[in-house]
Amino acid sequence: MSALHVAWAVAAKDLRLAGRTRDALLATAFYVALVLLVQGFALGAPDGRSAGATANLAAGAVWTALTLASAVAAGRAFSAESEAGALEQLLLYPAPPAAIYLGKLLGVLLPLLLIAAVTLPTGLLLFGALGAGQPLPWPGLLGVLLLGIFGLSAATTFYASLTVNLRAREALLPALAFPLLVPLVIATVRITSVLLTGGWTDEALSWAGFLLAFDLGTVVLAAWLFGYAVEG
Amino acid sequence: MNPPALAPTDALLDLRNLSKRYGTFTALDGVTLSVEGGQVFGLLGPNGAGKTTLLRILATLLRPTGGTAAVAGLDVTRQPDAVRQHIGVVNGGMGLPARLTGREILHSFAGFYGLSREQAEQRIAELDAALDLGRTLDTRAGEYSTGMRQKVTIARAVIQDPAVLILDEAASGLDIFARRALLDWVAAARRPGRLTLYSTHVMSEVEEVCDRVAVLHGGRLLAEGTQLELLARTGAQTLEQAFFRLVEQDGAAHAS
Repeated sequence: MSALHVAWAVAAKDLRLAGRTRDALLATAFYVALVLLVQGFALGAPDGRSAGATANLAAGAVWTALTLASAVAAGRAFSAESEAGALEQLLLYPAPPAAIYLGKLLGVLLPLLLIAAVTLPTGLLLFGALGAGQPLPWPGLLGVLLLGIFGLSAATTFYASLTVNLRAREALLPALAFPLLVPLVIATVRITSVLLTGGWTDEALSWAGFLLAFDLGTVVLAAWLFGYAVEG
Repeated sequence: MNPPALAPTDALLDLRNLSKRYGTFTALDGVTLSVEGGQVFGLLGPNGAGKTTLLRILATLLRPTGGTAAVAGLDVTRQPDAVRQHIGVVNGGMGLPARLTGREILHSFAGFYGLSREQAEQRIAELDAALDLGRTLDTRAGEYSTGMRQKVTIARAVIQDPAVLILDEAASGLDIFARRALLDWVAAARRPGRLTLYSTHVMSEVEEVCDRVAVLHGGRLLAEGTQLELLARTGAQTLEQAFFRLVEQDGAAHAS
């Protein structure tokens, strides 16, 4: 039995559970919608803003919402296990902890990608960065979406495993994860903004390289440390 | 799932001077024990005797601070992933996902051990016959009674037919019918090349299902043998008397 098979089996179980309850998906989607709405009201109508300012605001609003949502999604993925008293069972799966981490990561990543796929166009539309006449670089936006959501899921899944046994986990998860996610958020916002205004420029490419390195570093480090995290 | 390179008569459990310390507190103190397959082996002791610590080490959930432990010929510290392939664990701390049915839970766990869908379905049918899973299979775990929950928890632990099954206070909290069903199943599950470790502080359960018994107290192994051997050694009439005499002898030995 390979570690990847176990990883997929863990993800399949989590996805089946997520599909059955839908509470994690609904809670995350509701949260994203609320954050976008609040930001929409706070920032006001886009009239009179330059294209660059609109792109910056839209990218910032979308990635702020998705960053907050990733913490909600990862927290729910582990708290469901904790509420069922099944957390210790994770440690008995016949595979290295890294494989179990990858399974949990997939279980967080796939629903979050679904939410992000709706959030990105909705957010861009809401903040006036969509449909202004210019063609949008959808393949590029899809790429940054995949890289960004992967990085967010990788980090928040790890921190959720770290905090799941703590009483104040809902407060501690974002407190621990968000400072470390700042580089990722800056990178995703910058790439999205640059893509919306100028397409694939050198700046966008260099940020994408940084994002890729951040994702790889996070997933390797988290997979390595996951066993220690869940053992408490 | 057969243990690697082990003859049916080889020891499935081999502990050498196994210890676990938390700071100055010694939870397990130099336990040496060798247990062959084909039997139900009882771990008997009061709360705090070190039973759960020992079982958690065997389940790779805890690391020993001294000595070695091998399960199915595999070292629990150096080969934890391989050990987990060959053990099943039932203890009080393991819940079931409330929104999944018994069948879905068992299929998920079969997947962890590499069983195909057909193999899993066949194994579930075997376990249904052995454990009388009945309507638990198509009912969500959130709607289970304690007895139904225990049946599915045991089925989950043995889905891959493990070499060593660890039952830690498995009958605790069960009603009289569920407890009866559990003890009958444990007695019937005895097979060559398979070992059931049955940990409890209830003497009658040990008397009924265990072939051999190890008595633990204060983290120390006080005695090990068949029930008749323990009675002969202590001159007691019942296992309970034997247990108290062993504890008294141990207390006197440590006082002097």
